Amino acid sequence: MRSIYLILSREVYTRVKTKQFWILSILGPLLMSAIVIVPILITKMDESVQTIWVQDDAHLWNQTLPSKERLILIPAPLKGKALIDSLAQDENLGLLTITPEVFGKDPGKGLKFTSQSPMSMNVEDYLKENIAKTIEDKKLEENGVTRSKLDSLKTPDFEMTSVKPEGSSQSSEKAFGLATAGSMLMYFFILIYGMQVLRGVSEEKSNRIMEVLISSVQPFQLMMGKILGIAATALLQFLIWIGLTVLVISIAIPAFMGDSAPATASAAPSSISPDAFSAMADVPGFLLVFFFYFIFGFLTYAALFAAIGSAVDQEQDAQQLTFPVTLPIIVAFLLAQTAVAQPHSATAFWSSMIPLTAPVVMMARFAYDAVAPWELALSMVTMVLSFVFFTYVSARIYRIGVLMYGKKVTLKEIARWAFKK
Amino acid sequence: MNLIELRNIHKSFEAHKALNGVSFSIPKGSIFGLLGPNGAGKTTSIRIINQIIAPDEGEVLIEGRPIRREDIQKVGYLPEERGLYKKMNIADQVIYLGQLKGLSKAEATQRCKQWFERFDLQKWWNKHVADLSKGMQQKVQFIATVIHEPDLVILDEPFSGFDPVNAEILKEEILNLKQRGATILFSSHRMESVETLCDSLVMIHQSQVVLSGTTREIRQAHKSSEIELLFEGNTPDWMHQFPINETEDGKRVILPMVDRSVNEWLQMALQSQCTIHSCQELIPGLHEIFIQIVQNSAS
Repeated sequence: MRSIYLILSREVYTRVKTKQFWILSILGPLLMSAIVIVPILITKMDESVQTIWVQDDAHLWNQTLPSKERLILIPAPLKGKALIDSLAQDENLGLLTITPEVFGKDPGKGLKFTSQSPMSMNVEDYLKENIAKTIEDKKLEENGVTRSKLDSLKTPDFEMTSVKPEGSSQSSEKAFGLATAGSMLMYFFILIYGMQVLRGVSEEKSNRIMEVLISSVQPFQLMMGKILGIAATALLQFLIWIGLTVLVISIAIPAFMGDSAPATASAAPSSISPDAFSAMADVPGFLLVFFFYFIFGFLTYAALFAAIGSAVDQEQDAQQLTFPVTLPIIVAFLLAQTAVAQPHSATAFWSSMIPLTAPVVMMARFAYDAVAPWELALSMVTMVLSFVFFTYVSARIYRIGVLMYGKKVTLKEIARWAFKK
Repeated sequence: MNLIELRNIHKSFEAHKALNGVSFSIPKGSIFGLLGPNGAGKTTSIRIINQIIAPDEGEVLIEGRPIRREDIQKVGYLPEERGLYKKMNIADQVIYLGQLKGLSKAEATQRCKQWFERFDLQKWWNKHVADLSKGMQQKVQFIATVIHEPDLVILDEPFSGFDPVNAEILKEEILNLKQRGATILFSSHRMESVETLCDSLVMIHQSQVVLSGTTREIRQAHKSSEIELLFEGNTPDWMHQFPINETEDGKRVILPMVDRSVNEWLQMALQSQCTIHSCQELIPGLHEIFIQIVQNSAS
């Protein structure tokens, strides 16, 4: 045990000491926060005060111009050359000309916007919506129907709520956020850190320090020490990510948003909306399940990566041998997309039972609360069994692989090492 | 008393028989040579002693009892292919390897300091392997091998890559280890490099032991019973029946010790008119003995 601990500590120490670790630790949460914050920021940036002079030759608005916060609409105070000069001098000034053609088949033909800078998307959407409504109102009036009458005839907007038999409700938007974030993180961490195991093993081999090491500790101890050390590093990084992301978002959102934060934030077009993060806070169960699958999923894959790393002389030779190991995890990621759409489907069920795809797919299903307790228990048991099995097989390969030099190994040979006496 | 004893070891890799019934004993406190050409089975024997691989047949004894996993802590191993971590400073590596051999961190650090002073490496403490010259890397590797004061030190081709000055330092350190009571197993394919150091040796050829004993015994057993006489001046008549060469140092004649002893041959030479430079019994070096054995086994 002492040897495993020593090897584990060295792995953590040498990795945490590197610049890459800290760059990734800081960049990751920044990127994740950016997904949430950038759309909000962009919306925010659009909202500098803009003035639009309106020349309403069609009498569309009848002098009651629809100004709003940060957008001032006033009747054009100037004409002719003076008007053109003013437009040329002020970037934030625009002129909207409305001609009677606006009541025609293509209202766009009756609208002209003149300005130094083009109209922002937000302003354009707002004006289009307003103009369309005004035209509609006028047409309704001509036909003797009032707006309130029409509204009372329309079916109002409505939302679906999923309710569990016990009665508690769950927003599917939150579940979508959790499912996507959970399965993506699982995929990302297993792949990135699994490759680090491969690299670490083949580095020890190509450095030729391997022989010194295995004359001091048993190959199994060396392999486990390395895998556990890298798992600990990954967990540490994951915790830094979660901590920093929560910190950045909780500081950034109030800072950027002021009082209007909640309204705009939920409108941000992102799968990981702040809603999802608040949801994460109410589901510690999700985190527990995440950690379980992360630990056993990682250990299973890491053992396989270690076996591949031990079989090659140099990391570059590993590529074609790595494919059979990376394939299931990539497939799992794709299956997780299906599971997000249909968490109860047979595909989702089976792929959350098969140990090599379960860690990623289970995150998606669990977020939707689509997993019965017996399913979770069964999947967890198969995870533990697969960890034991793959570690045993990999240790056998590793034991032989680490001493094998100067020979290009095939998968067939590796399989023979695993099962020969 | 033997520290290590190998009994009838067999080991095959796929179709290749690496060791075929190899047996030898390493006396405690001696410098023991494991000799043989490349591919003879030296490294396989070492790995079996190190318990890196297990023999198919046969057993390894340490102090008369079967070797156990824990005994590995008392062994220091310098493999033929040297290697250290590239991205870890050298002192940390030495301390780490010492800890893996059972030292406490404080103890390993303390000893590492002493060794670094001894080899004049203090200012390299925080450097990486890439910053070191090859000779210095070898020294670091040597320190990592002996830092836990092993009872058995296994050195696989220790002199390869050493310049003459550093090789001399290494030789001294090997003798120091012996004085301290350690047993040293030394493997090489260059016989002449170990001849002067080894107390006893075993020679492996084609997976089998072809020769073993103390260095002196082996050379005595393979002496050709001839003497070499170097002289100048007139060649006595009786000498013409033997092969005489003209060399830079004078005339050289080889005389058989069949009917006459060295003393008798020398007396005859002294009575003639020539000037004698030297007279010595011809004892072959390990290299010649080895070549002789290989040729004999081939024919």
